[in-house]
Amino acid sequence: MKKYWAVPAVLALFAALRLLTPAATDAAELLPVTVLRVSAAGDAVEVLCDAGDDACTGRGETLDAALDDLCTSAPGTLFLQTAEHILITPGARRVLPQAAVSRKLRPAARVYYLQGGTPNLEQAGEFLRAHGGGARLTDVRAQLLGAEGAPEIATLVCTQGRLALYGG
Amino acid sequence: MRAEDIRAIFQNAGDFEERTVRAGGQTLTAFFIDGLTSGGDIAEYVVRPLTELAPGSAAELYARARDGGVWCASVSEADTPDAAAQKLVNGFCVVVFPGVETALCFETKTGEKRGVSAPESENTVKGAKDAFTETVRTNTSLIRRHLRTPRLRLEESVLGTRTLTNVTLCYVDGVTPPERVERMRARLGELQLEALLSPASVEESVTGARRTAFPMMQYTERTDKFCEGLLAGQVGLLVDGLPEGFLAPVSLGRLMQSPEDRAVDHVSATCVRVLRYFAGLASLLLPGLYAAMAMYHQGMIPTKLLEAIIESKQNVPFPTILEVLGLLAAFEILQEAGLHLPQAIGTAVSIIGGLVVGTAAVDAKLVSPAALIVTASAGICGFALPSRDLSDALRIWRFVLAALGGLAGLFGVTVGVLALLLHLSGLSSLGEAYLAPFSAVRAGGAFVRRRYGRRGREGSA
Repeated sequence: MKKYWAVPAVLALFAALRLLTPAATDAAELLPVTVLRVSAAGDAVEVLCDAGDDACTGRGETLDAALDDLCTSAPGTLFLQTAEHILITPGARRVLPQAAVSRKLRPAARVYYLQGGTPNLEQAGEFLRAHGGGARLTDVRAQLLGAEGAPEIATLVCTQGRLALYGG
Repeated sequence: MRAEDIRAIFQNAGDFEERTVRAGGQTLTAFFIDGLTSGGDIAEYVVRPLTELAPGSAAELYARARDGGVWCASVSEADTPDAAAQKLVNGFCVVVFPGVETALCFETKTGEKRGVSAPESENTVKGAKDAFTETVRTNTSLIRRHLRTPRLRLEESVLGTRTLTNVTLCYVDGVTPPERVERMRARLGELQLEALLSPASVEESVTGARRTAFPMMQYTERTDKFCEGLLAGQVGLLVDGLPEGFLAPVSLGRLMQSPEDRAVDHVSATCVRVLRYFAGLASLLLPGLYAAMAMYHQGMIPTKLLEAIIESKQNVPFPTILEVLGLLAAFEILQEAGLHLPQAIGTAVSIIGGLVVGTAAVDAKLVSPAALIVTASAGICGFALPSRDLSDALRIWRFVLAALGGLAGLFGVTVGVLALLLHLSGLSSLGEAYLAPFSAVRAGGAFVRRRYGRRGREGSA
């Protein structure tokens, strides 16, 4: 009798394993993102990432919607959890609270205000990896939840292709 | 007993020899098995003394031969033809006296046997270098040299209806718990076997054929390790024809102990032992964790490492789970091939085959370097375990956990680990829990090798 119970039990276990676990995405299929640029186009939010080509942008009414659009339009499976640096343009500073609570972004990602021209995101990523610092999304979230003191968000200034970091 | 009865048992076997001896006016028949006995000893110490016996009846000659007339150190009597046959196959010379109910058996074993050599698989830098051989009497003498206490008990029995294998039960009176000895004695008494030729048959017969890959008895080719086990309260078994000693009960803690631990100071031994546990865990979990994290939980991997993995997997046509399982299978095949190849070329073929095939596979983008490193590391960690049987069992579960990790991520690995723990916790060896000493509250003796105390034993005052 025990043997007959073993087969459906094993099948049930496998079914549970498949149902309870998320869909698999092999690491080879992933497009890791290092830098995200968030800007505003009117009432819409526009995001640009350093994975894929420059045409890889996402637009939406909210940041999460824009990120979803970005993932949909990307030439592969974008992996936003590797985004270390988030650049916020002056017109998109209102989106900062959305970035702080977004589940699609790493809480440890650093936030920068972007001024001047639009930098090459790959170069910006390398620059910020070497010189970056300042507030993270968790710090912004803590302030939203009532923590004392404003987070020190650094400003990345791009002048004629040259990058400089202030504050933070 | 009649000579014809003994001849009928062996039926003109090619090595069955008989010699007619005229002694004291009587015609005696001496039987022996060529190859198991020493012809010179039979001639010098059996036949010659028989011929020099004073004349008398067969019964008188029998009594004189039994009581010292024949210059043989060991003499016994066989009261049935089967008992005489048993003696013959154990290297005795059996002499039949006409009209006498019993036959005399003189021990004339040949000295041709494999000499005592160093252990092949359980090497240590320091410590004794004598290993068991296929001859049980040699093995008991080796044990006696290490344990000279008269309280060492060696109980002999015969198992296997066809092989008639001599089995010796070893324990130290006053050290080994009597119930443990009785349990083993009862197990041996219950066995109804035809043959007892291989280590697996010994283990499965004595412990019961349970559906587990984990060893239920510990075997060793080292005499010092065997004696340490006896002094720790284990019961030992020596099987004629096998150059191993078997110890029971066994537990995970005992299987993770190496003879090298007792050859170095306790600090070094403890550090190595802890490292050994980590290696065991790495061997078991590494492929499954890699498959789970690479397919389901990429956020858990540090960014730089993830980028390196992604870059290494570019243009690899197989998903991570197939890579891992395929590489594990290739590793097992390479090991199996290395076992069967002649020693002269086996090492070279294994190394070159592994290097060349592995390098070519990576260059051809059939597998990623990350998967190759993970599976190779897991394999090498498995070799760090002192018990080969335990390592073999972990190799099987490594496959299971890798498959579960590829199917269901860390949830699957967790389910697999829980299943393994459930399985192990349900095992017992001769009444002792398999997860001992971890099943007890105090598990310090598992990781930390305590200093030898004044009594020369670990942890003693």
